[in-house]
This record gives sequence, C-alpha cells and structure tokens, in this order.
Amino acid sequence: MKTKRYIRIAVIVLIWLAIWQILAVVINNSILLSGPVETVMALISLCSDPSFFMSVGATIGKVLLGFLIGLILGTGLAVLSYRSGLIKDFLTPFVSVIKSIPIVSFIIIALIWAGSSNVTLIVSSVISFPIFYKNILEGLSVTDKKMLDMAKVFQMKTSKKIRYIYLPSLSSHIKSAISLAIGMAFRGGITAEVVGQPLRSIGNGLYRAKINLATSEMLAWTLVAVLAAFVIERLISFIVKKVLK
Amino acid sequence: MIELKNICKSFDDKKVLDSFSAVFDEGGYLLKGPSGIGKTTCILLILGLIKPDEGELVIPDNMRFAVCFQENRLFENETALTNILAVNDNVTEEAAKAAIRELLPDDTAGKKAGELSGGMKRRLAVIRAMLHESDAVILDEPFTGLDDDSREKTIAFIRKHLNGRLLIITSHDERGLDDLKVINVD
Repeated sequence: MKTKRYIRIAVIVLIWLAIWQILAVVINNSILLSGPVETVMALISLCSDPSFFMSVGATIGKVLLGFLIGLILGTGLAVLSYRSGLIKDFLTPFVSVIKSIPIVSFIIIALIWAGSSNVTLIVSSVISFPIFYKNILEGLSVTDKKMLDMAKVFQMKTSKKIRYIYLPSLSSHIKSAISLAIGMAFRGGITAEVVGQPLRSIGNGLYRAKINLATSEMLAWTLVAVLAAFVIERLISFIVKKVLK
Repeated sequence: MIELKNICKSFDDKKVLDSFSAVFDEGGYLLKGPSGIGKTTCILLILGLIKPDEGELVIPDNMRFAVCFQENRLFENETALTNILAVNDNVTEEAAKAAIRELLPDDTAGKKAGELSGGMKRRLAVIRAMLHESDAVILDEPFTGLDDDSREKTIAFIRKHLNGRLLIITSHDERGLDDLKVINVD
C-alpha cells in the first residue's frame, strides 16, 4: 500500500518535471526559464564550491534559530495570556499588528536596527512568533475544563497536567503551527537575505544569480531553499510526533 | 467535618438547590434522590468546583479529596495503569496493578481507557479514587452501568480501601449501602 503511494507521488513529480521541461523548450530562452536539467547542472556546479554549503548551512542555522525563538516566545506568551486575561488583552493588539505588518517593513527595520548579518534571524522569529502564539493560545483555551477540574481535585503535579491534559489538547495545534511557521520562516528569512545581502546566505546567492541573469543558478538556489524547508519541516514534525506520542 | 448551610444554586435561572443544608461528619453518607435533583451539584460544591449563589459552605482547610466523577474523566488515550498512576504519586505500579486485578480482568492494566467498556471505565474511575491519598472520598453514581455482581464487588472494594476516611456516595439505588447515613436531596 505504501509502495503504491510512493510510486504515485514519484509519477506525479515526474509529470510536473516534464511539464517544466516542455515549457522551457517551448520558451527556448534560458534567461526567462531554465529547464530542470539545466537547473540540476547549475546545482551540481554550485555544490563544487565549498562556500555553497556554508551559505546553505548559515541560512538554515539562522532560520532555525529564529524559528526556535519564535516558538519559545510565542509559547511562553500564550501560556501567560491563557493564565491572565489582562496579559491577553495587553498582547492582542501587539500580535495583530505584528501579523499585519508587511514582511518587507520588518526586514527594513531589522536591517536598520541589527544589520544584515542578523536580519534572517530577526525576521524568521518575528514571522514564527504570532503563529505559535495564536495556535498555542487556541489549543490552551479549548483544553477540557472537566479534566482540569479533575486534576485540581486530585492535586496533580504541573508536569503531569502538562503531559496528560495540556499536551494531548495542544498536539494538533502544535503540529499545524510548526508546519506553517517553518515554511513561513524560510520564505521570510530568505526574502530578508535577498534584501539585506548578508554574506554567505541562500538569499545572497539568489541575488547574485539574479544580477548575473543566471536563471538556472537562481532556480538551483530556490530548489535548495525549498528542499531545506521541506527536510527541516519533516525532521521537526518527526521529533514532535515522537515527543507527543 | 463538612457542612452545607442553606445552600442555593441555580443554573440558567433553574433552581437546582433551594436552601439545602447537610452535615458530613465521619463515616459513610448516601446522598439520595432522583436524577436531576442536585446530587452532583452538591458534590461539585463540596469539591469547590462551583460556588453557591447563597448560603455557606464549611470545609476544613487543606482537606484532600478523592473523587469518582459521574462522567469518569479518565485519560482515554492512556492505559488503565497510567490513569491510576498519573493522579496517585504515592501508589506503586504493583499496588495499582493489584487493585485493578481486584475489580477488572487481569489484562486490563495495559489496555487504554478508551478501549474499555462503560462498566469497566466506571470501575477504573472508582479504583483511581479509592487509591488516592485523601481525607474524604466522593463517588458520584459509582455503580452506573454495573451488573449486580460487579456492583457487589465494587462495594466490597470501596469498603476494603476506605481506611476510615469520610465517604460520600450519590446513588438512587441503596442496595448494599444500608449502613450509610442517608441524606435526601430534594
């Protein structure tokens, strides 16, 4: 059953790659659109330069750190808001503003305040924070009140309340927040790198490919960014699944 | 000693308790009355989970309760054994397993609560309450869904594990509970 599913996914991917190749052949202009073969060749060429891996590693590291900061801040403030209506009311406009401010505005502010080397970290945390805050707060607010009453009567330890009542209730909210936040953090983080131009970063590679009109190289960098976000998201989801089991 | 003095409690303008008074001193008490009369409301008031609209509730400070709620309130995705250990820090795994075996089939400890039948869940909720270190045990309709044999065994289990604590049971069926002091809720 699983093999059948994998075959189906592989066939779908191959069809999309074929559509991409056909479009590239029809357009017949590698500056407008490079085909998958050219892109893979560009990727192989990038891999031969050690600084490529340093750039990918630096971007992944900064995005992950920003994601973690967003997770910790979002979760911590969601717990405080859950426990205190005053804190919740105080934070609601702040979170709404953060959610609605364009990413580019954050990037510019982060560049002014912290310089290009920290822009990825700041932007990915600012993007992740409201996602975790909203999801965790929603998960906490739908926690079964009757089970919490039971825990109160039995004087359950906080650690056990978290393990047996809060985590099962939060599980689906945490999973969807992680899935959403990691993708958004990568997108925002790399956008910030394209604008801020920190040395050795995926965004910087993208920018250089763009000014050189090297479309295949640009697509190769994009492919790396997509794959990195996909692999990291899967890895974190796997860890979370194990922890919440 | 627990004392309820002229307690009034309404839900959505429906008066459930109207100037209700009762004293629970020591030993066992049976809160008796037809369904919907306010027995569970009494229990929730004593546990401090709801507040009275009027009247006074006298409960000693630091009084510890163990309870079997009407809706079980078990961790459905956890095993029967975990359900007991999660709320009973002083109970060993062996003691919990032995208690489960007293009322439920031998292989129940490792089964998830969600997989148990209604009657088995009820008995598990009773076991969890009886093993809890407390000053008073409150059992809200503990025999619901039990056949006569299981009911008898559950009553024997409650007596065995009571250890001199104050016991409050709500039930509309007095069989096997003749020695309890009856308090009518009406």
